[in-house]
Amino acid sequence: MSHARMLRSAKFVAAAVLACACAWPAELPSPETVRAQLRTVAVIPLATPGDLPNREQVQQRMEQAIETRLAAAGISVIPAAEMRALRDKVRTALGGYYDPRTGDVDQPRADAFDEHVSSEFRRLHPADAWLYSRIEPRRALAERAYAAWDGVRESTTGKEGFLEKVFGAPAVIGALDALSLHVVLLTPNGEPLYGRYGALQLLEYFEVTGTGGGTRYVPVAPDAILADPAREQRAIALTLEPLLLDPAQQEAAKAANEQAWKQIPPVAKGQPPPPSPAVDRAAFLAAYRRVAVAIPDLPELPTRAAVRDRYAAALAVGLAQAGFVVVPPSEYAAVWEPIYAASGGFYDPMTGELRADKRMAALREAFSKLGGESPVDLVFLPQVVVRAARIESGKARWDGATQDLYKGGALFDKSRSFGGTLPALSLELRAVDAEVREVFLGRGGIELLVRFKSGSLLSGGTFEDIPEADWLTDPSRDAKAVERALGSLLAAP
Amino acid sequence: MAALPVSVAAAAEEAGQPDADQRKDAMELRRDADDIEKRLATSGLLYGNVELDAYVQSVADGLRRPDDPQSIRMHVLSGPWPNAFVLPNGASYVTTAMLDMLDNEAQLACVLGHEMSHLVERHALLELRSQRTREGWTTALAVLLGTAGAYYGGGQIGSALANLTASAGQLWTKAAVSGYSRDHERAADREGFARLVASGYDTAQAPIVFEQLLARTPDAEGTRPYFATHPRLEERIASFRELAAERAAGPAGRTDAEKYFSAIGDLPLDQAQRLVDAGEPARAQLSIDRYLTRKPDNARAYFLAGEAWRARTLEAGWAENAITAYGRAATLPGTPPVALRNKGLLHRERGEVQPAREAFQRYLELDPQAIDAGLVRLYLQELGAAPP
Repeated sequence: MSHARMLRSAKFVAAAVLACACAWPAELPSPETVRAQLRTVAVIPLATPGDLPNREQVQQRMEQAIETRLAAAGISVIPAAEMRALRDKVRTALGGYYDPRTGDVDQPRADAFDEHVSSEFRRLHPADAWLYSRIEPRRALAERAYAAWDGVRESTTGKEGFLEKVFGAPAVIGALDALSLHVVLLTPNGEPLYGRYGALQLLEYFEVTGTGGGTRYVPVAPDAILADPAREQRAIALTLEPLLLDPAQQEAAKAANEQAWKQIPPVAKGQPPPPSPAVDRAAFLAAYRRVAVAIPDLPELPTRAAVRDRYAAALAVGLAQAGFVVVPPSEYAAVWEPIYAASGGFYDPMTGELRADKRMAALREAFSKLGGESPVDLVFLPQVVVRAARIESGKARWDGATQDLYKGGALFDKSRSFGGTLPALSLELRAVDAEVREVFLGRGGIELLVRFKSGSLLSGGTFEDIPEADWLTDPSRDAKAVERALGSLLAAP
Repeated sequence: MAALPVSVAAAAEEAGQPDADQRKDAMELRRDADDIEKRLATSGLLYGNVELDAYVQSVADGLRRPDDPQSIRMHVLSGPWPNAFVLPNGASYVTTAMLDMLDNEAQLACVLGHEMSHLVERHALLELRSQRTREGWTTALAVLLGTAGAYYGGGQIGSALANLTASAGQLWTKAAVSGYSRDHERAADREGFARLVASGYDTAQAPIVFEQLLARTPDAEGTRPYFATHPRLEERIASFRELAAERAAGPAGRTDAEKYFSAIGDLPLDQAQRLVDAGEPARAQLSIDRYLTRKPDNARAYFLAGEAWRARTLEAGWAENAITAYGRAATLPGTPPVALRNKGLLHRERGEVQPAREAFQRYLELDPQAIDAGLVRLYLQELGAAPP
């Protein structure tokens, strides 16, 4: 999914799931006032990142835990299953709300979906409030041994003993990727009543390398993501207790919570991703000589058409330099475009996810028609994607690219003390053969999506987003990104 | 130096700075202004109505004097609060909220004459050179446009504008958007008023602009950039009244109200739509009500009134008011079909079977291919009515 699509999907989720979060008023009613009004609460299905492992089990577990908490507070609960069933019914009746050609949200359909679901749910299930919950990626502020976010403090290294935590931690200030539960209570017509975040877990740790104080980031084990119900209970307590318990009850719960939360072990560490294996260039060229390049898939930018042309040209040059015979883009387009039009798009209108089977069938058909008497051996599928760049010693590094965070004099460079990750763009280049098997994957870093703004001598600095209008505006980066993505396919200089 | 605007260079000389500093400041101003103009052009916040831009430009051109060293280029900017500002390179912006608030061309001329005076009198450079005031400045453009971004879409637009302001958080940026020093504001008021007189407009309209601004001043601190450093509005209203009174004995000037409303067209409804989307239905209702006094038979206005009421659910009678507004829209030509759909949904929620049926049936008659036609047909079956 492209960044624009992710962004728009995220916006839609925010709009549909947390209807008024973006226009959150400065003053909400006090939790005591809200609590006094709550007799019946409808629990809305937990929203999760699309790539969360064991998503359905996590949803089921956490929704149930939330419903139990509400019921224990004497509130009558409309279970999440009711809204889920209604959403499915309306989604089916509308034929989904994603554009099958792009995977983007089809806004008029999404608006209609929202309108009907809200109206119907109000009609069928009268409630005082609707409780929305969502698992959100967060940034935990990490300073040496400890990372703090959304009500908890945990080791930045995943170590348990005090001495190990303190002396085994790097001298780094920055941010670690984390997950939190975000809970929002709205009236059935969308007026906000209450909102709170509760920390779930870190997604990565610092690890000191060697004796020179170098640092690397180690992800948590994939099977340790949202695998500890005690953490879920903690997040639910952090988000709901201020709403459901009166101050005396909260005070009483605090001591018990602290005791219980101390017993929660660190999330297990995983392995750093292995470096991509080098491709045997000679063997690759012997197997695949004549290649075509698909139209680059780019985020929705004001300059998308021009950037697409630029990358198509840069790829043609790069692949020719690598020794491939590149089919002219017009020849590929003449074959591909009718196939694509007939397919009606590769994205599922219900979920917005790519239907790999449909795309494979189309690619197979394209292979059969490409090249005439000189068949095409390979199709390269370029896409500009959002990646995480690592910040180390004032430099961001990702997919073969290195970018200084600060370009001024060393005196004012506060960026060297920051750690963590920043969003960046990369060119992702996949290649499929005539059997539509992926035989190559390379990524080349293009540019960061944030810039560092150094503060004064005493203050630190800040990161600010680069507006979409300024993405991919520097053509001098194109060839370098292609070079990085092709990697070992290019001949040694 | 040749590439710099004459007025900026001249102002630098007047400010008595050494040549190198003058050149540096003038270049800094020009560079930042060009950067902001470019960024605004791609920010998605320009209203984008070429005819309206041309009309506002024509009003500004009518205020020009032959000896003005610099002209302004007018653009209409989508914005939640009434505001207008000019950049030192001549690019000038008036917000949709300002145009929605004004009653006639004379009032618009008052606003533009004021901004033009800031440009011609080179207030940006003079303030840039004023170390005394520099320390107190903050990033007002971030307040104004960040607010706009948050209102109008949040996310990327808000972030684009925050970035815009971060890269040009200079003294003059604050001044241009949020107001110059009191002396410069007073000077611009006097100079703007003189332009109004010279162009034959009704000068009694000038204090009305500021009275309207005062009435629409938001309460929350930090959301009133237009007023942040302006002399007290009451003081300026009194000053304008005095200036207008001095002219009262002369012939009455023109207001050109009809021409103005013809030029802004449906801008108030676009503004209302955005305010509803931004969760400001009460302010949207103000825009709609003003529009309806001029065009009482506009279906879209009643539809938007229904939308605004539907977003005011904490107020008693919201549902009845929304149903009434949708119902009125339904009786007028050009009604958006969705007004009937939303009316039907409200009736259905309230258990009002017959009006729900009628609204849904009319919806399908108006838009049989609607995205949700299948769903509405299901509702009709449940309500015991045959779909059309």
